[in-house]
Amino acid sequence: MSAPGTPQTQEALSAVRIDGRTIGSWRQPAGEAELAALLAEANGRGQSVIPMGGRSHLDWGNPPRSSDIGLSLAGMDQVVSCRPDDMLLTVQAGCTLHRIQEELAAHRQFLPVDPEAGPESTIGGLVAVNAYGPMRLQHGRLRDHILGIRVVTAEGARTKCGGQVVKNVSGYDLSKFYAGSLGWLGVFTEFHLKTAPLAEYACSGRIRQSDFSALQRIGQQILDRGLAPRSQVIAPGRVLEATDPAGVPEEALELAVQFAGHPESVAWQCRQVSELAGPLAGEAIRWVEESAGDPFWQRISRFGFDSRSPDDVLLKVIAPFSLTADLLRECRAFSERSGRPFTWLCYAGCNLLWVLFPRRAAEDGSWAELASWLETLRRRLRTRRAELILARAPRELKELFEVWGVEGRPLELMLQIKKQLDPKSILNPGRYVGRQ
Amino acid sequence: MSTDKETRKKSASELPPAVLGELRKIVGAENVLTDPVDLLVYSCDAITYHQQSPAAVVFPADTSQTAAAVRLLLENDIPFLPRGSGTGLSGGALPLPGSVVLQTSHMNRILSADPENRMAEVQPGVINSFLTKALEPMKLHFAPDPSSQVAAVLGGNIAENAGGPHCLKYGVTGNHVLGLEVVLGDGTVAGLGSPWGDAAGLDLVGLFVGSEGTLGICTQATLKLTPLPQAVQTLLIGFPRLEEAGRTVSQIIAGGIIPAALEMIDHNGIEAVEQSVYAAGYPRDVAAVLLVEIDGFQAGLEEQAQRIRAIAEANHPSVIRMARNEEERARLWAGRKRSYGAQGQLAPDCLVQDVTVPRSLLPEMLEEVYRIAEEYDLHISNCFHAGDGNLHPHLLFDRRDKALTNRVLEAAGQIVKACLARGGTISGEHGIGVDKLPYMRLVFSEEDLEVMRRLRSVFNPRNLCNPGKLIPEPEKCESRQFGADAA
Repeated sequence: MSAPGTPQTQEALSAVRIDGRTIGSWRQPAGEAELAALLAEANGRGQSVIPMGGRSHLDWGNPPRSSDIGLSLAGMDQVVSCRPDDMLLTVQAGCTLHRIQEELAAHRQFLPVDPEAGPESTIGGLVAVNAYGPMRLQHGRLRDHILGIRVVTAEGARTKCGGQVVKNVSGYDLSKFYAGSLGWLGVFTEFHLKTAPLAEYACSGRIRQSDFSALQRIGQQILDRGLAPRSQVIAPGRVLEATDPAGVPEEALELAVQFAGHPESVAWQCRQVSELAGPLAGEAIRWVEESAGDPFWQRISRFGFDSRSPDDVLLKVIAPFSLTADLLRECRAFSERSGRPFTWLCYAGCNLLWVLFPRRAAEDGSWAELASWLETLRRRLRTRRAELILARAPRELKELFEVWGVEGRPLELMLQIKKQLDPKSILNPGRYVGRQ
Repeated sequence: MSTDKETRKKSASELPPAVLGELRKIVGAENVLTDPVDLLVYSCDAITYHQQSPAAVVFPADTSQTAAAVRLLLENDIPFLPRGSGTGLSGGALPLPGSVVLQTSHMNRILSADPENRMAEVQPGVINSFLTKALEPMKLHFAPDPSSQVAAVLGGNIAENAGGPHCLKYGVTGNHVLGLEVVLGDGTVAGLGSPWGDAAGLDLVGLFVGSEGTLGICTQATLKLTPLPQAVQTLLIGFPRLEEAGRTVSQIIAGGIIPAALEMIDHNGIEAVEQSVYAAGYPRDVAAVLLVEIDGFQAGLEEQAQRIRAIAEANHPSVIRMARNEEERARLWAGRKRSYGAQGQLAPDCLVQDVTVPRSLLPEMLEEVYRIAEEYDLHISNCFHAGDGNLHPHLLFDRRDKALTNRVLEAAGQIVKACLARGGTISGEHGIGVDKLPYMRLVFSEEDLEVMRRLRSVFNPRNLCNPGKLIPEPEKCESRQFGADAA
């Protein structure tokens, strides 16, 4: 086995904690064969393995039951091939998203996802959490851009699914299935990715208002008119304002919408929004032309991740857009009752609401009240077939409130799948659904 | 291949009378077919050279009847399979001897359509184009549009992860399914996914879509709807040389334009269409035509059309024509979408391949197809999704001519191998079923297949739900082990 070394230093690795738990030992295989041997050995010995990329989402999931081996994919970080004419990129799992975007930008292409991703975030880690950012509205999640994956199973079998072509129904569609599985079913080693042309032109507009329902109406009308925003969010003005958030009135809310594509089509859609927002918007819409990698939208991607405080609580609520106002009322009521301030960001049109309870200055370590409220909220959401996931939270809260909330027959099926693909439960034990 | 009456009679008589009686109680006597003549319709899908009569055909009315029938069949060790309209092109709905077909066509209601949230709840027996028609007043549609969409049902589309010309821009069926209610192969009922699009935990919907009925039977689906485009332009471009048509395809995509559809029909395909009732007015003196459709907002569309024209013109086309109205557009598309049917007048049997290659290798792969046709002295036509690199060589034959049939089967195998050698795959959208099953080991290792078998065993532990499809069984029992222990 390769010793842990460049590009990850010993000090950096020894500081890694997952929900407070340290890693027994570190391994950094240089290739798939070495990785397969390592997993077969760990499986034989019943040692737990925590696969890791750039470690940007290590606090996702329930607290691990054990963490014998930390598996760094940093030694497998190559771009294997770039075929712009086929809009196809093949990379190893440890390749960073930044490197991928750089490689593709040279061909005026990109991987159309904009998740929270630091310079160290790897494609393998981002697929494991099925990452996305605000451009999900137009481009979907990472799973929608994966054509094929190579996966080493817990028992050390080197397997593949999918392929290098954009349409493929040969065998089960495991590329989609593996995305979001949090390294629970196997370790990804390589991806064939479908790329997209960079937009010729992009333009964002922001509408400020204090009335959520007015902004929600505009957001819904943008969709009802058949316009095709790349991204559309609603949030408190202070969340969206970078330069002087404190200068924004507390009650101010904003809808931010971005269009990207052919310049004429973008311009036409912007005019449509101005027209429909005109009578509703309290202020004029501020339209800004943008280049790729605009810092405004990058900041939106980072919502809930800016502070690395382990005591932040970030909720991901998957519920219809129309339910957002009710949800915010519930959050506000709890906030007032508990003295726990909160902020939020709504991906309008994606049925997604992020709610952040930032770490309090004097966090008293008492999480029972929050856990009990979350249980009630989850139960109520279930009656609307909606879901609540605890995206980030301190270990103490995760011990009181299970992160994923999967139950019933789907949970039974997922646990049986785990048993089939990782019979000794060595991969990320305890972190995924049902605390398994 | 087995077509004789004796086999059909034997199949029908294989079902124990007590089971037949129970099935009649579950769905009503009028909803169980056992007469060999009635069963004939259900003995194949659109790949007619694989035929096997089922033991019975049952028409459940809902999820509970489906689940009750499945449990009864499991108790009696009787294999079963779901069937929609039988438009599949891989033998996915071919019954194994003694199987019971669970025909979904009585579950044919659109339960709800929600324009605000852009989703619809449907039963599996709803015909694809009927859903889109019903959604028209809401200016929405269900984007996957397999060529068989006037007959194919949504349950079948889901089972096969169906594609279609417009999947180039909008994605295949899997991109448009939010949630499912399914009767699993173990007889239990499960709700998978979330109507709001992001269910927690493993993506069981993603796994189920395209599983060809080997995991269970879809009895209800929540589908994502897509706005109808504001404007559409359809260009027909004819080329005297095939490689120039292929180059145009690559250059359009590489130029950063993603058309809604980008289809190619070669000379033999054009002749088949133009000699049929589906004649679309394609030019007959060309090597191939491209059908290029762009859609979106009126603003900017004309400029995109000009760019496509410019790319095409640099490749020496002999004709460029734009559909002037919806009627002309519909005619151009009818020719393309009915091209498979049009082959029927040329020969009694047609084997259609579904290989897919990276787009830039399309011209090279087409040349190889023609070389193989010549080598085996076959009539091959090509009508296919060029923008996706998804070829559909149609190999025409008459199954009564054994020598010709053998040549067709050998040529089909050669086409598959040529495609795999170019980094392609054996099925882009038709599925594996029984027809492509022999090729699965050319693509996947025993260990790849073992992952699929283990997943299947969770949903369909006794493999009585559509057995013999999609995944080849292990060659030896030892191969059910993985990794280091496997040695």
